[in-house]
Amino acid sequence: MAAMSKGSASALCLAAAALLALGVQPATAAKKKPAKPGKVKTATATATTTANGQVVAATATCPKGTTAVGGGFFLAAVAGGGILSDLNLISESTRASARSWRVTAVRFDNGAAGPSLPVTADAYCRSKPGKISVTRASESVTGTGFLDPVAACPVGRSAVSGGFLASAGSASDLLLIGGGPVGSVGWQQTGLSQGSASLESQIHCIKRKKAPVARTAAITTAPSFGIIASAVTPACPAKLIPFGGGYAGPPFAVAGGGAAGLPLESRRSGSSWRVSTVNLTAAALQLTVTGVCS
Amino acid sequence: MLVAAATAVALALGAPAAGAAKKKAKPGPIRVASATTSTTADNQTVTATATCPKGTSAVGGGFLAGTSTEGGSLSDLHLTSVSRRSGSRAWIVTAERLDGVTPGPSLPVTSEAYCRAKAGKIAEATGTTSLTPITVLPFATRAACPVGRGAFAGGFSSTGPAGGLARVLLRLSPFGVVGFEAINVALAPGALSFSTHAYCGSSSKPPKTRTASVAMATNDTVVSATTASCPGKLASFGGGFSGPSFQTGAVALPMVVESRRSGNGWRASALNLTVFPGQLNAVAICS
Repeated sequence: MAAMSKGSASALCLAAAALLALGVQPATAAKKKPAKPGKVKTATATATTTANGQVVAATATCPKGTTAVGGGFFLAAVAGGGILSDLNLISESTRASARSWRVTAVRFDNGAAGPSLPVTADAYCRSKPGKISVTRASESVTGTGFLDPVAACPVGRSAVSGGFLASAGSASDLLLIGGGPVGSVGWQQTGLSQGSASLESQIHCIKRKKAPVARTAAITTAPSFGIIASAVTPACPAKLIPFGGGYAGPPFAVAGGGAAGLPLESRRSGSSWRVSTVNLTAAALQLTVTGVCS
Repeated sequence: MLVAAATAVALALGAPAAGAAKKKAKPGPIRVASATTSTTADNQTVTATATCPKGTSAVGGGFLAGTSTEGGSLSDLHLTSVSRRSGSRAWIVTAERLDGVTPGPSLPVTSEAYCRAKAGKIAEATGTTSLTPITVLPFATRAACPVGRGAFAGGFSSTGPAGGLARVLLRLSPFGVVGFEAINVALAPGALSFSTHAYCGSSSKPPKTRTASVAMATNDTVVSATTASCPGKLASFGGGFSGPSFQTGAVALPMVVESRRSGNGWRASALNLTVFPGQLNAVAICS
């Protein structure tokens, strides 16, 4: 151990005395109080599609000084009355950076080209939200099959939002039929592949004294192909915000025989979470929506 | 006055003051309790319950369901419908025997419980899927631990439809270290219900996992994957298995006949129900 000179010891004593006189406590003794999170702001970005097979990405960016805590999407479609003529198929809804949320979709025209259709990304932004950690899980198949990856928070953290990234040879090779929270600590994404495909589920986790609160709503659509139906959860309890959410349809048989819906919207709606799907079958579609309030 | 006097006596005797941190009791050594029953006839359903000694808790458990071959081909097996904690001291395993053309030999169904004294509070989380498939239907069932707890074991329980290979459990494994998931594929029509159970504990350190893989045979041969031992002072109370992601066509379809502790790791054994290659994975949860 190096000897301390008389001079340096005196200097340390003086510094300590000065700190005490100023009422400053040593850093190791002070308990750091977590900063109070700021108000939530929604940032939005929209891109449009006009041609069959066109891929677009919309990236919503939060204001400086804030963080993207969660996000959502809205895709327009021309459907109804037993007809599904034009829609955007989502392949990505993900936290692209600490301050942005990106949504990617590909347009599918059934027959003649239809009108211009928007693809919208929402980012839910907040200052001082605390550290957000991201965990990912992915699965892939090479044929007709079932993909259902689930990402999990580390012990001690809980889900605040989630996202996904799908990859397939063509857009119709992977149908996303569900995705959302698993308890308070997991996030799943469910897809049916009809060709080579991979699916990644993403979970964004924070440390909170209290576990998040889930709000759910369920609807059953009319048994009609191409019908668009929406479900909205009850509002989050006071002071809690739905930064993330998801939906689940019924399990779907690989060989058909059930109902399945494609997501067109999964995003915040006031203090609630809203999901819209288009029914791809002629069977009644049960849709359950969950919002994660934190 | 009386209170003041009592307090003074307590302090003099060195009793801990109210609010002092309670020291966590040190868990005892692990003991394995085992129970075996046997089947002899087609569609016979049996239950084996392994019970821990008094003063200990069943922290996890596992199963072994016997199979037999005749002339090199699979002739008799069990469809395991339950492998879960029962009460605080037992692990229960239920299996239905499925024979081929002719009745085979007596086959064992074994339940194991991994027992420990002062194991701490174990919280159970359950996720359930109920459905009525019309045709081949894969589905996931997940159970997530409460925030702040880690999953150190998992189990499952199911009902219907009986009388045949109506469902295959392709995966029973932890997701992250905070929950358990099961992937099934329903193969026949009929109402069924499947529950996944996660057994969750609080620990200063999150559980760790150990994995192992083996190529499944493309004939009726049971293969096993056994993980390495858990590191240091950690013990494997739970574990699981997984095969390839479900897809139709040229892919292996595991029928798991064993998922239990092996040494201080985990062992999974499976038959391949198809003639296509694929991996069987075993995972041990070390906590």
